[in-house]
Amino acid sequence: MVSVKFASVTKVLGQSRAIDNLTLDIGAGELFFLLGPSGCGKTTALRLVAGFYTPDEGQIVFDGRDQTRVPPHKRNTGMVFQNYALWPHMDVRHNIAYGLKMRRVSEAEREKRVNRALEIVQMQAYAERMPNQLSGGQQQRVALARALVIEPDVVLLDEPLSNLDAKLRVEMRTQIKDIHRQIGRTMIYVTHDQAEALSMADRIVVMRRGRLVQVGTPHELYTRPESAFVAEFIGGSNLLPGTLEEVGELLLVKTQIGIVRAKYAVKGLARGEPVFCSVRPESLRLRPAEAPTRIAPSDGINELSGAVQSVMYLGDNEQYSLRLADGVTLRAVEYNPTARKAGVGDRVGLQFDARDVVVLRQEELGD
Amino acid sequence: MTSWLRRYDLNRANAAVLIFLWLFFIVFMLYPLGYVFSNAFFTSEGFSLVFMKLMFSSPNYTAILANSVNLGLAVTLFTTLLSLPLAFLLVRYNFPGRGLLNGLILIPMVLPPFVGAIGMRQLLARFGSVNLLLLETGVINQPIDWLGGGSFWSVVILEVLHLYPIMYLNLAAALANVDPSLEEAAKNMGASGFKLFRTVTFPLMLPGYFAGAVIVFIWAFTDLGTPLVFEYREVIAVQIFNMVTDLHQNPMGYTFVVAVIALTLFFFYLSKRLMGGGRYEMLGRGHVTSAVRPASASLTVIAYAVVLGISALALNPHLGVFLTSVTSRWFFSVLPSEYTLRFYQDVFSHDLTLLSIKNSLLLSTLSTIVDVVLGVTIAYFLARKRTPGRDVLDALAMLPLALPGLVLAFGYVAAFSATPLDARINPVPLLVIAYAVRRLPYMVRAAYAGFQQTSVALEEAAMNLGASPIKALYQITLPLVFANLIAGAVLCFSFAMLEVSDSLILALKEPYYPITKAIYSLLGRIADGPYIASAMGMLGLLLLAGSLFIAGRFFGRRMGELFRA
Repeated sequence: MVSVKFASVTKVLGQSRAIDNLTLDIGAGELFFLLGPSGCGKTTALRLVAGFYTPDEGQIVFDGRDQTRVPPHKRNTGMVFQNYALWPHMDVRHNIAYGLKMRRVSEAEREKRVNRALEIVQMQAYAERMPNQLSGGQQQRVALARALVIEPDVVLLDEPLSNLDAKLRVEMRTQIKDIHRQIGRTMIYVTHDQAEALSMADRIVVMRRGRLVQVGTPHELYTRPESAFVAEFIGGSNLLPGTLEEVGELLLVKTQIGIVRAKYAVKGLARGEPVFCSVRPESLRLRPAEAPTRIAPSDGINELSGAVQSVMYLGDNEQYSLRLADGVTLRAVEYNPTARKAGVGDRVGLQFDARDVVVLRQEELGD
Repeated sequence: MTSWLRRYDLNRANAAVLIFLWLFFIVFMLYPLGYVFSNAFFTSEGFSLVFMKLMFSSPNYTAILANSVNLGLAVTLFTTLLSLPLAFLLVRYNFPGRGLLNGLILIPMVLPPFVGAIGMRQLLARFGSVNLLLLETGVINQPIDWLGGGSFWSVVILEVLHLYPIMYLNLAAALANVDPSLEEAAKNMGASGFKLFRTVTFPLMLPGYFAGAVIVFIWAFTDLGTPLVFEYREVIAVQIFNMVTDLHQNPMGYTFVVAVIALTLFFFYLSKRLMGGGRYEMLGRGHVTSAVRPASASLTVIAYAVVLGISALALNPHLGVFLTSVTSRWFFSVLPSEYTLRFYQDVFSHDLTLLSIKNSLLLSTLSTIVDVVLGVTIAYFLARKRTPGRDVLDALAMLPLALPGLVLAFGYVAAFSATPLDARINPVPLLVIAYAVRRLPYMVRAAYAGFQQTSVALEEAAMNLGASPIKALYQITLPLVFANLIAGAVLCFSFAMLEVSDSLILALKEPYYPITKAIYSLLGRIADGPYIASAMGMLGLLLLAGSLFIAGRFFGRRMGELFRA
């Protein structure tokens, strides 16, 4: 088990800073996710760990050993490539055995370890197949086995599930997580799929334009986003623009639809500053429009009303798009929707708790 | 230094190899070329453009330039028209005997057009076989002057018949590399037939097509042997040849060379521009479904008819050479009236001919080895590394396509006289290098195309698992581009065997004559010269057919796949 450290790493590719002064500590044995929209630099970061790129500035450190100038073949990382990169001229067994051959592992030992790797990914029956005789999911497993068999210090996964169908993708999440638990090695996993990251990661770094935006556990990122970008990218959120009026036990933000009360805020906000109130769709509670307000606003509950613009039924949940007084649109989700609460055009009341609101600095969104 | 290397992702070994490559080009290309250039632009009074002005102001000279360009364009056009249907039939359809037909298509490559020209001259002469046949059957009552007047078209025809296999190889490789799912996507959008071809298939084939088209164009544009034998002197190559052999170093020759280089660079630029610099790398080729479908019976018949028809046409010069080589009397008759194998005996009893065969085998083998080593290395740097001066390296590696062999050869003779490499003492090293340099672009292109079409991730995966970069290259990429390399090496070898201009100029002493020079010197002998020359040509042809066949055997029965990535 090896820890991986990015120390003020910058990598310029072409005209752009693909990685811009990135400092990051990945703990030994962690299943660590690099998450961000395409072009955010996450794959570049992974390739810097593998050694396919050399940083223009800064260091890559494994367990205190500087790896910055170590060529890829001497780093002992095991990478799973996005398109698997199985060698079409070798069968499954030879693909997997390759790294062991490079390490001059004896033939008997090699045989044993390849078989063990095949077992881990449940591909024993396919050892003599050529890559082009395998399905996408099978190729993916072989690529994984090939990376694991060398017992790498760090396992690198570059969007390993992006070429699989949805059902298989969800299955493979569990399998990879199981394998991680089984072998206990440091794994760095690149994805743009936030659901994948949330469901699997020990910790996640969210990246944008080559920079680190926020690091934390899935729970931290989801419940305490530190920027509108993270709130929007992970899980999606309603972002209400407004001005910070008062800072105290509760924060008061003046928005187009009235005063919004919030419990949490990023550090260092000043009164009068333009902000976003971030409210998760599932924090909004739909109520009949005519239901009387029973709770005083001071209890830390926000009350609004609007009209249903559209409803989308997804089985386990129902998604509402609501139009408020001043043309503001909010998304709300009802889980376990046994009976429809309102139809399109209906007027509804809305409630959400101040502790479900995070006040964030205003920023420009998008990639 | 290290930071500089890092900027280009190079290690010290890379840098050392790069420096070696640069030195090679400087010594064996830039220096002799510089020698040529300085003679074009410097008179005894210093720098002067007087020769340039002369070339562009003389209608005679501009006509010669135009002839050469037209020759190149016509040959390119006709080889394309000939090769496209061939490529489609043989790449996209499977039918019994496909491999055989594929081999048949390549046969015309094995005869230097200037030898073929001897045969054609025999067939198309005023009282040659064709006219006599037409006269006897009463189709005409006056012999047609096939070769007279402007023999432009006879040069075109002979070169097309010789060069279409090269175009075919490139088109077939390009077509085989088009990801079928891209075509399926287009069909899905409603494209089919010619529209599909024009909008998707052909644009994807373009890099491969231009690779072939540029080679064919430059070849026809600078071919010396064919116009020489047909006595079509109004082309730039013959002019240069005359002026260079003019021992007085008439500077107009150098001026023409400069013009040739300029025009060639222009066409290269054009082809690169037309490729659009687009990325045609196809990922995940490992699991792409095949686009080869079985041919229906009628399509099989069509395929055979087309290939056999074109081959029959293309093998006419060979037939002429063959008949010339076995005839002892052939006057005023469609076919020879008496046959003999005497001239074949002569080939093997003659010191000159026997020795020249040995010489050619040795020279071609050595130069092919040089080509493979240099070509793979250069292509690797071009395809996979951001080397400093990458474009210059690319241009240098491709430049030999633009260099008529005689220019390079003359530059060698002149620039290396009174050095250990002096061709007057022992031309073997310079002949090997000249052959190698001349055909290096084919190897570089073949290897480069392979590298480009093999995803770099495959190599990275190997490095990631502990293979050094060199090991990853040997164990992963080279096996995957092996077919490309074999195709390139076979091309290099056969072209070296048939190299005309280098041989004519560099092999100054009889003990060092390669086959082509021996043939050329035999042609000059009045009595039995052309017959022995033809017999020689036939033997060279068999030798090359043999080497292609062996290469095919080596790959089992999949000869057709030899020339694909």
